[in-house]
Amino acid sequence: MPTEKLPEILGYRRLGGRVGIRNHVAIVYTTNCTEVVARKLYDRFPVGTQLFGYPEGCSYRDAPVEKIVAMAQHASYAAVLVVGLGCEGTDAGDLARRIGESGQTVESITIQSEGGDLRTVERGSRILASLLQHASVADRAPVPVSELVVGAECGGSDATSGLVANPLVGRVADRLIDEGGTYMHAEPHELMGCAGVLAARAVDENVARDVRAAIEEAERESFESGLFHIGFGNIEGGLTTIEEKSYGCLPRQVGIPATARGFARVRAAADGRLLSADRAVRVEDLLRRLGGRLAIRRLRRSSRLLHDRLRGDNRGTPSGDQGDGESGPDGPDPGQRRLRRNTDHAWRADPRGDGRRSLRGDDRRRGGEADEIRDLPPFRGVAAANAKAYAVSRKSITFSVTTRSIRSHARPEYAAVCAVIVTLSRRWNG
Amino acid sequence: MSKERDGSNRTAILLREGDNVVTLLKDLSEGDLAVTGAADATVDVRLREDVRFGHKVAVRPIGEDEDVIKYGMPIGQALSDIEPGTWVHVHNCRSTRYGFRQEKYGVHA
Repeated sequence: MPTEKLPEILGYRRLGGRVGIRNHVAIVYTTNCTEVVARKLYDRFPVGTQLFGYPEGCSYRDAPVEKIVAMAQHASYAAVLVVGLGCEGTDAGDLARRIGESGQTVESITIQSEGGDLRTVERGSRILASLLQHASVADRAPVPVSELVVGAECGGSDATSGLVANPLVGRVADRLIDEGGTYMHAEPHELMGCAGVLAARAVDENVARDVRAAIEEAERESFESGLFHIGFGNIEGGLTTIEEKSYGCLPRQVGIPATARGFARVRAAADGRLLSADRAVRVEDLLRRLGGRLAIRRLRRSSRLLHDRLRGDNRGTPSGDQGDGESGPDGPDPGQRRLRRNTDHAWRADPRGDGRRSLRGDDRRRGGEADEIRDLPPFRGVAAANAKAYAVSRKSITFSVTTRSIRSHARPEYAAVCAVIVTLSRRWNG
Repeated sequence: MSKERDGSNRTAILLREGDNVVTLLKDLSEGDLAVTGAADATVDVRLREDVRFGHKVAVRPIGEDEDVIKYGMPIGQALSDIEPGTWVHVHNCRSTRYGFRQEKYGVHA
């Protein structure tokens, strides 16, 4: 193992001591009534913006709002525009004020004050333009990796996840922690069966108790709902049991999962439990308490590419191979071409988007129609299963670093899409 | 070190010494040798049936109700006696803790 210090990376230092490695502007809607207008703004400024918000109507609920605030405070956003209606429980001005407490640059606008959708789009566009300008002058500076909080999220387990990808993630996490950074492991559901192993490696009894409690709760939920985190694709790919999948999810390095150490550090830093009743909120809450410092993942380029294609129109395949040439926002590199090609495979396996023709298990039971997926690349079962997840959600995706956070309270399909992207990228993007 | 042992022709991986299954790195057919490149050459096993990439093959006899070990961890229990070289999956292995059988998945493997 190399032991030299990790180099500093380039990041953005924001007000309030937050450090991010992206430089976007967030568009946040406060109710699903304003999502349409927020989306229009988003469509007018497709580069450098991300869209998310409160997924329900007039109501106000603490958990999702806290999550939105934490996300918007994230240092990877240079600025935030809150779009409200004017009569909803989740007040735009209040939301903006809370977001601004971190030092975040934030503006708000409400449809009723502006006098309608069109006026809101007009004024919102002007605000967005200035926020983007504000972002554009932010300088990247070297920051030590100890400033980072990196979250790991699952993405389409197959037999190779436990062989290659997760051990690699584990090593990276170990290095990060050794240098004073923070690593978070999300989704206790993915650790079912690992409670004993993980708890035994915790740094103290409190951490061990937290780990056990989190995983036991996930088990309880699963037994109550009858839903377990193993699917056709997993089984086709060679995974037999929950335990097998879970052990594969443990990032490992010489037998010491980074997770227990990660738990410990997060706990020490935030003085709270990483995983508890409202897990996702807790994670976001921790991020917020830690100063909103950044997590996350490196796949945005690919997802952005897909996203742009999908958002554009309904013609052609998801990656647009009947449309305009090969160049995406980042140019035609081989990895992206592979990703796009394979995404198209998935699309063709399930062009109607109802998912039924994409599952090999279904095909087999109905005794036919398997031709559709025969030309898929290796790991056919997994690719086909993911095609379903992809198709289901193709109308309403918002890729961003916040995918994981959105997942738990509103739209599991976001996470499913993310899983597809991660899987495809992990497999073919090298 | 012979070619068989240096890993250059490996077709399977033993995740932890002592595991009683290996994971195939390519599709193999009945009669093929699953070569792990592990120090212990005795885990190399000749397949008794076709097994696909990513799936598991027993490398030692596993008795009914005995643990199936991968990653050095018990991933489930054998539903029947499993001979070396046999495919191990939902038809002959189930979760110890969660008690699933293959019908639960709707998979007829």
